Amino acid sequence: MSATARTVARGAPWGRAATILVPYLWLLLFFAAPFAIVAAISLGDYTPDTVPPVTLTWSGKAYALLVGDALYAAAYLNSLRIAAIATIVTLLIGYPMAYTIARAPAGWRGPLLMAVILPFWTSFLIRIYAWMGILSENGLLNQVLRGSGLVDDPGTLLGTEWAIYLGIAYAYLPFMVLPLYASLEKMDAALLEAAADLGARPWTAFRTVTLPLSLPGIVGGCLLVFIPAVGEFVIPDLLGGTGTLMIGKVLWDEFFSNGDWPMASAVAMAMLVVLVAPIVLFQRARARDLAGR
Amino acid sequence: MPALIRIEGVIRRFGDIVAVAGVDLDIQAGELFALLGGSGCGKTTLLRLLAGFEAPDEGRIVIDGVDMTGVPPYARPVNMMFQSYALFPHMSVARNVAYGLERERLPRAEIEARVAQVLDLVELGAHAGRKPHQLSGGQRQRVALARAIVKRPKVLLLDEPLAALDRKLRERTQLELVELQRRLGITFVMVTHDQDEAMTMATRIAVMDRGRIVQVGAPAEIYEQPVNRFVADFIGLANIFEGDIVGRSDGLLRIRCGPLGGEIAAPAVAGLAGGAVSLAIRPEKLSLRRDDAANTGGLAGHVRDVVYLGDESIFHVALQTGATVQVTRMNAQRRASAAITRGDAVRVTWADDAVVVMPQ
Ligand SMILES: Nc1ncnc2c1ncn2[C@@H]1O[C@H](COP(=O)(O)OP(=O)(O)OP(=O)(O)O)[C@@H](O)[C@H]1O
Ligand SMILES: [Mg+2]
Repeated sequence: MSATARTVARGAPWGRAATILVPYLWLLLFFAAPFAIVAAISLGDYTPDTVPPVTLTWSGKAYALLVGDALYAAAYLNSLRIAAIATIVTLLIGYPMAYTIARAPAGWRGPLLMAVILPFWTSFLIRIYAWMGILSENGLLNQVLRGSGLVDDPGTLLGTEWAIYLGIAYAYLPFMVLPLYASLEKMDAALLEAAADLGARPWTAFRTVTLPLSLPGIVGGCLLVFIPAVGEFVIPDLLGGTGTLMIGKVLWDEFFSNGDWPMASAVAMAMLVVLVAPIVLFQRARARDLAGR
Repeated sequence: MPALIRIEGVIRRFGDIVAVAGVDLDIQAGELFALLGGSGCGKTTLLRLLAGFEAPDEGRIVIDGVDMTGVPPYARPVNMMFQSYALFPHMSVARNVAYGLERERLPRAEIEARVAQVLDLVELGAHAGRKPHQLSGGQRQRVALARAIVKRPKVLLLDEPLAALDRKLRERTQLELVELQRRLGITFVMVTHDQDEAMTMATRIAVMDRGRIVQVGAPAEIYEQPVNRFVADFIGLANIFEGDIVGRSDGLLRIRCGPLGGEIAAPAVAGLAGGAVSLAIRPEKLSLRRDDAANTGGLAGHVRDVVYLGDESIFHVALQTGATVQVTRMNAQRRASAAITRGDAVRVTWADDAVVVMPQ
């Protein structure tokens, strides 16, 4: 034991440096470098005749267009709105699930969590296609509704924003459930008993104890759903209507339809700014909160 | 006067385990009642049944004349001080204490006044704004106490309230709690596995074993007249022997007990007239003398070991009958010139009424 400890101690400085270096190297290679390239392209000029179709000029023409054309601002706002609503829908579905799992007998929690993650084992695309089958005019949902005789003309969900909310909630549910579960599970059950003992009915106990104590999980889960949902492309494209304007789709069109690399890069950079600002503000607030305690 | 708390034939099972196996108990208003017993004997479960966190499988609980069957915890006239304290970590001390009053929808001003008053009572007025994690263990314990008494319940349930405190603080807090209980007039039902704590604080003690109450009585009663071997052994030190009742004379039982040198006399006990019995003699009720010409009575033996405890010493004496007994002696003098030490030949004597006879 002591011999091993000594070996580790001797190897420590080098080993520690390596362990710190690896994530930084990773960040440099797969985040910083691509980011720099995209940033550089976004500042360049679109030259359709060159390969690639961009000339690095630092002109920033794409940004001028981004600000000038109301379409982009509308797309950003629409994306934020849809992502926000979808996040709330996901929270409303995910919270009861996480709560139930956290309160289940210990032996059940593992399997139940597994069940939440299980859909990830099938291809994302296939699952979204399946939702098209369910939500379409003559899809499973409408067949059931008509068959039950309750509704004659149920209308079609596919192609509406509700189909997008549903798709996002379905696809991102585990990202909501897992952080919520983590914060609910570590809550001491005696706290709820104490609340009841002091005269709180179950709903009051939930509102005054469980909810505030799960706030970190709520914020974490919402961020994990909201951030990718803003840039989501596949779900609005497949489940939403042709009229749905989302920034992911705009980016796709700029890049693949128009081949305008600088514009596509500028859209991506702007999206990053839009998303980073709230995250940084949130982290600041949290740090201040922690320091103040 | 009818009992404030009436527990009637209560049974609580968890699967195969019978945590509470048929308890009948009356607790009077104003008592400081202790539930005492070893680990896993069902003390906490009984307390949780009173608080309403568990429901009895059989039997019922009546508090202040109201049958508590089906009454949820939030509607019971009791408050509990949890062993882990269960303070709300996201609330300040004052908010923790105010929580129960806010549930009663009292006016803001009254809540603040009562919170301040209770915090002063537990000497935490200066820490009202702190969060629980900024307090010491003893301070947290007092917040938990304040939170539980601020609602002025009829009954305060305490689950090992002092277990997390170090010994000095615990002993001081024991007396403070007793003092507080007298001043507030709230009935306390306290769970503890520490017999000294129960003896120090309680007006009455219920000794529990495997889900049942074995004996209920005042501390002195339980110590001096244990009803069976378990209680004698559990409360304090006791020398326990087996014997047979062989007769009766002058209100005393004649008991044959080989380890105590043949036939001995003991006070009669109702319901015991013959057959095999257990005998208990407390170590402080045995006296120890040097085995010399001046001392001839009692049983001869030699000191095998002396455990020095400061205020008293425990002598382990090997008797010539083959038995070993423990004898305690106060260390009344700082350096006794005639101190008995290890290896000394001694004689052990006792009065007839020092012997407690119990069914086997
Ligand atoms: N919720 C539960 N589920 C299953 N068994 C339980 C439960 N609560 C208590 N028990 C069992 O019931 C028995 C009595 O438990 P209880 O907590 O009342 O003991 P205790 O006297 O308070 O012990 P301790 O001094 O260790 O706290 C134990 O065997 C325990 O394992
Ligand atoms: Mg217990």
